[in-house]
Formats: sequence, structure tokens, C-alpha cells
Amino acid sequence: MKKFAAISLILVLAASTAFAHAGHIHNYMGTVTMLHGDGAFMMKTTDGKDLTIQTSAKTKWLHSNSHAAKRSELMVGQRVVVKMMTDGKTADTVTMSAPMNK
Amino acid sequence: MLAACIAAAIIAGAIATASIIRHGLSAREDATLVETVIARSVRHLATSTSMRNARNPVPLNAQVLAEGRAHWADHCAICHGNDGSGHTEIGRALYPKAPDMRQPRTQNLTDGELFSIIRNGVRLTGMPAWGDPAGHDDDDNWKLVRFIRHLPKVTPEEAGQMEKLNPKSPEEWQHMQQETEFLAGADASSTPASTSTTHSHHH
Repeated sequence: MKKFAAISLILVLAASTAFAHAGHIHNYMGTVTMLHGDGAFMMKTTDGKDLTIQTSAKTKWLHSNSHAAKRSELMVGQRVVVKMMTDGKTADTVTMSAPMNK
Repeated sequence: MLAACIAAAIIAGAIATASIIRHGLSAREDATLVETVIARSVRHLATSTSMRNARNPVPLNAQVLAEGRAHWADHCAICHGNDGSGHTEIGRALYPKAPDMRQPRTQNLTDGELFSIIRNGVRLTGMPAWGDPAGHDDDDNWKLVRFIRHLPKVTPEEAGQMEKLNPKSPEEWQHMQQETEFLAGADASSTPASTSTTHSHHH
């Protein structure tokens, strides 16, 4: 019985050994084509695809010089680089060009 | 007393065995409460009182925080994230998953406990032991402790700076350069289509 308990505990510890297999993170480059009221926006990527990007309270907004930006600064025609969260649906970081570059 | 201990061990073992039979050894699962409690208790017990009560010899100032931040971005963020959330490809795939270090469960550890974890690592997790065993890198680890205390207050600007310091493959450096040029107004038609979608794989 003791041997069974010891083996079981070893199995518990063995199960804790770390293995990593990761998924994908997507970065998109493109131009904003439409702003939605719910925080989402549409963009056309540099290879011509239309994407709808969801944002959340956790989304970080940056200017291209790494200074903080606000969601309200995003405009149609502005260039953006969007790094998606690991869920593949929501933007983790949206880096926007200066307004004059739109 | 001995019988109770044996009974408890048997029950724990049976639960663990049933869990393994049901879920296999996949790292995708969350660590069970039993494993978490055991692991944290053992880690606590394994840290000497003198280490637990050790005071950070590195002063808190902007320079130390900047050095800790750069070190974190280069060595730690690949699992823990620049913001310490653990929301990274590797951090979420580890078993146990990288913790959200902004939360009280980490922030309530003493400076000495944090230092000990960095310096000695944690067995059977993804956390390695960092630095020279002789202690030549202790100052850098204490600076990391200062930065860990700052994690709940990391600003978007700091996160942006850290992204530039995160380890990158030559391909990722190229993509970052292309993104910078694109945002600066470079001709979009000259940007290779393949760079508009970056797939990052880490194994």
C-alpha cells in the first residue's frame, strides 16, 4: 500500500514537469477602413485582406514612437500594426501611425 | 497518526492517478488545487528563513528600474509577458502555467522569496535558475525583484519599449523593421505581402 502511495505521489510530481507547445500570434499591418462604435475597427492589410479587429479594455494603444495613445485617436485612413492576443480574435496592441501619415 | 498520513497519501495518489487517466499528461490543463497547494507549500518550506527575510540591497530608483525592465524584457518576458501577466504563447502552454505576477499571490511574496525563485528556479515547473551559482549576478536578480514590484504599474510606453528589447529571430527583426517603416509612411506596395501576417511558433 505504501508503495502504491509513493508511486502515486511520484506520478503527481512527474505530471508537473513542464512541456511547452505554443500556438500562433498574428501581427497585421494595414490601413483603417472603418470604425465601429463597440471599439472594433476594420482594416485592409497590405496584402489586400479586409479584417475586423476586436478590441477590449486590455488592448494597448500606442503611437509609432511607443508613446501611449487612445482608442479615440484612431482614424479612418490611418496606418496601424496590430498584434493579436493569443485568442486570435482580440487586439493585444494597436500601434498607429502619426495622423499626418494617413 | 501514521495511518492517517498513509490514508491521506493514498487518497491524494488515487485522485492524481484518476486525473492522469482522465486527462493524460497534457500540459494544456490547469494545475489542480492539490498540486498548487503542495507545490507552494514545498516552495515556501524550501526557502530558508534568512533568505525569506532578506532585504533587497539594491536601492529603488529610476536607473535600477530601467535596468530591471530591460533585463526582464530580454530574459523573462518570453514566458511571463512584458506586463507580467503570463499571457504569452509559452507562458500559457506551460504546466503549471506562468502566473499573473501582478496579482497578490506573487506580490505578497517577500523580496527574499522572489529573489530565491529567480536565483534557484523551481523544480518541475518551467522556471529555471538564473544567474551564476557563485552569486556574481545577484545584483541583476535583485534589480529584477525591484521591477517585479513595479509590474502592476507598467505603462503602455514601458511595454512598447520592452517589445523592442524582447528576443527576436532575424526574421522577426526584419518584420519589426518593416512595421516601423510602414508606420513611418513607406510605400505599402513595396511591403512584401507575407509580412502582413506574422506567424510565430515556439516549441
